[in-house]
Amino acid sequence: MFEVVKILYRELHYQILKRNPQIANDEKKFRKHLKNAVNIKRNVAIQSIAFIFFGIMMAIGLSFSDDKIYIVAMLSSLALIPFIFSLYVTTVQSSYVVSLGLFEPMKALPIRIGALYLSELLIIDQIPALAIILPSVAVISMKYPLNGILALLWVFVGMLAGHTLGLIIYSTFGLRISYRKSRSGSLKNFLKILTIFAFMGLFYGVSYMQEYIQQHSEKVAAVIGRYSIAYPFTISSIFDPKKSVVMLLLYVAVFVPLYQLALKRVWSGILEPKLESEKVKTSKFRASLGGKVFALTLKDLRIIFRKTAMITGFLMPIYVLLPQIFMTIQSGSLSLMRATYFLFILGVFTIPGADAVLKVEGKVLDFLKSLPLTKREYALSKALSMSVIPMLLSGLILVLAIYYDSKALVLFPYILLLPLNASFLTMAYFFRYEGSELGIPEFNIGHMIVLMILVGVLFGIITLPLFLLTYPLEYFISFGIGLVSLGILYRLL
Amino acid sequence: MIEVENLTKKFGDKVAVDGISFRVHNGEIYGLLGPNGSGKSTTMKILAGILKPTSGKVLVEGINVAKNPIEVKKIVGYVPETPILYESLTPSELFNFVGSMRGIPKDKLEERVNYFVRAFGIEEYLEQFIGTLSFGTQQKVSLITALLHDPKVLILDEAMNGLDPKSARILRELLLEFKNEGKSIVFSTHILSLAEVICDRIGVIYQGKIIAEGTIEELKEKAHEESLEDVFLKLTESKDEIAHIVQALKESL
Repeated sequence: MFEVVKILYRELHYQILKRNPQIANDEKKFRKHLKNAVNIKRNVAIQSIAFIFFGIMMAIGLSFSDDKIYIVAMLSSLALIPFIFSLYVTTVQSSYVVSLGLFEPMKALPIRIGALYLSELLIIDQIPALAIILPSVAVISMKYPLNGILALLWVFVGMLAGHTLGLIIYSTFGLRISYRKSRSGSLKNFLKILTIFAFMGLFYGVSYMQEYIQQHSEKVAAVIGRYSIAYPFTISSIFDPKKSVVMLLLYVAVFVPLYQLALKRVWSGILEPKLESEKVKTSKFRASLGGKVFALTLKDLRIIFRKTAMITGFLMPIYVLLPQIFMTIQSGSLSLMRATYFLFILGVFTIPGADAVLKVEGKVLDFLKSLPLTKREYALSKALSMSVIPMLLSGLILVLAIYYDSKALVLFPYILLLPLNASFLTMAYFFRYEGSELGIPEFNIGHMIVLMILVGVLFGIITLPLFLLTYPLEYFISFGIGLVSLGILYRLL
Repeated sequence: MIEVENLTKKFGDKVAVDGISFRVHNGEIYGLLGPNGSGKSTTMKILAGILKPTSGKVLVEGINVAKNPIEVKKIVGYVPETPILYESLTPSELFNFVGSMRGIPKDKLEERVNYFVRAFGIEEYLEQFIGTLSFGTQQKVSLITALLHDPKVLILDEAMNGLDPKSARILRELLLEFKNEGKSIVFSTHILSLAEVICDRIGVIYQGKIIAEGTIEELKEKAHEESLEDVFLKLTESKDEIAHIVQALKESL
């Protein structure tokens, strides 16, 4: 069975490399990359290096501490990463795998559990995320062996949960093909997105609720227990092994059947995509035209919003900011500085959206190549496409900030400047290759880290006046720097 | 007019197109015939500006494809052998997208889309997602997108694939009309009887090389064969091979 997965893995990564003009246009480079990309062990090892660097940094901090509260707090934060990574890889990558038609040859084969191949294929790409927590688990295991093993088991359960929930999202939203576009269809898509938002907030919601109950009712708190029941806070139970094992078993009991169920749904969905049909009526074509970049951006957004699973990448910042937004609502105030911080976080997290917008084309790239389109126009449209959702989210944060303090209106330019600076830098990074050929650059975790550092440096320069000057001049100078950098990046595209 | 001189395309060590030369005049339908993997599609993608040649020169209406692919794409309409389009868009949205990309005026776009949509009978599918359409309907959508800007040059790679007899006939008539308008058309097909009817000249491509070129009559005369199919099979060294395979099959069955 693993042979089939190996073939699928080779094909997937070969296709990804083939669509990367930075590599595909250079024969030597292509051969060199191909050796690593189609080799599971090498590819996983290379990707793990990026994670293990941060993992070791965290582990060093833990090795000097015997404070159990500190240890579990750190582990809870770290355990979130493999969970999010599994959820993210499962939803976004599975959509890509299916759109590449990787399973088409398998449909004719007498295989009943075909989705298991998809699951295994996606799990391989999730393994590198383990590297961020393994060093910490190793450090804890040296001091507290049993508790270390429990922590490791919780991480595995977290990955299973992320993968299962990813499969559920994908089977619910990603596989259904609506027969024709309609207003009700658009509304459904909007509701699906809201559901994903709600889902993303679920874990924090549960823990917030629990905290609230703990503060207000001793009785209820006694029933629910001292620790959170929501992953990753469950990892805090490792120093109460009996409770931890019981909760682990409960999680396994819930997620293993869910995983099997989701797997079945995914495969039946791949075999027979659900069609939402409506009455067919003859219609006349009405033209609605725009500029090239506008048309490309509109096309990307239509596809992203219709393939709801692709939106997950854009929602990462929400997951990061949710606890702080909860805290803000709870405290009843949102300072100008905190709102600025939220907008900068959203700006930085524009980067993961690149993955979705770069994967919109897939096999359709040749069609796009047949149109009179320059690399610059293409890159510009991708930058705009990846900025739209972060801009909308920034707008919502601004509304919240203005609700608490009308002075926050001064932050308005950041809504546009920060996501655009991040997206222009991202696209300049990917499309500064020789030649005019269009392509789909590879976007992996290494690129994401490099881009986060680059955007971090750029944002550091933009925020500099906020630390050196006084209100409101600090903001005007900061906006000025943001505009200038945007202009430079625009020229670099 | 299309001028191809010593065109070569390599993918790594593999030579897909090996120093071919041919010309397609204005008002001419040039048939590019060859077995699978002979280099037809690669040649056509180079003519359409999608692929870059490794060496050689390709001029489309006097514009060098390698140096100015964008200008070439403005005057070329290309239909690939398999219609791979955005599945989550509707044909309407795709036509608007192509119209915007090609800068087609609104009234002209409406006129041409409605004309071709009626001609190919796909009015009822305009608002349906492309991913849910049949192969034939997707092929029609792909054809229409290639014709919207009234291209001077048409590159049609197996464009009849999946078309029903009525649509195939309409496309045939359209091609003859385009030819009369003075457009240059490169047309590849495995339906040799169709090539015999509509192509003015034919180039037979085999293992990346053009092994024969001329009118149907010239090819028949050179190969001493009665039909284009026999000419094709003889030139591509398939005739004896087919006889052996058929014999072996008969024996094994």
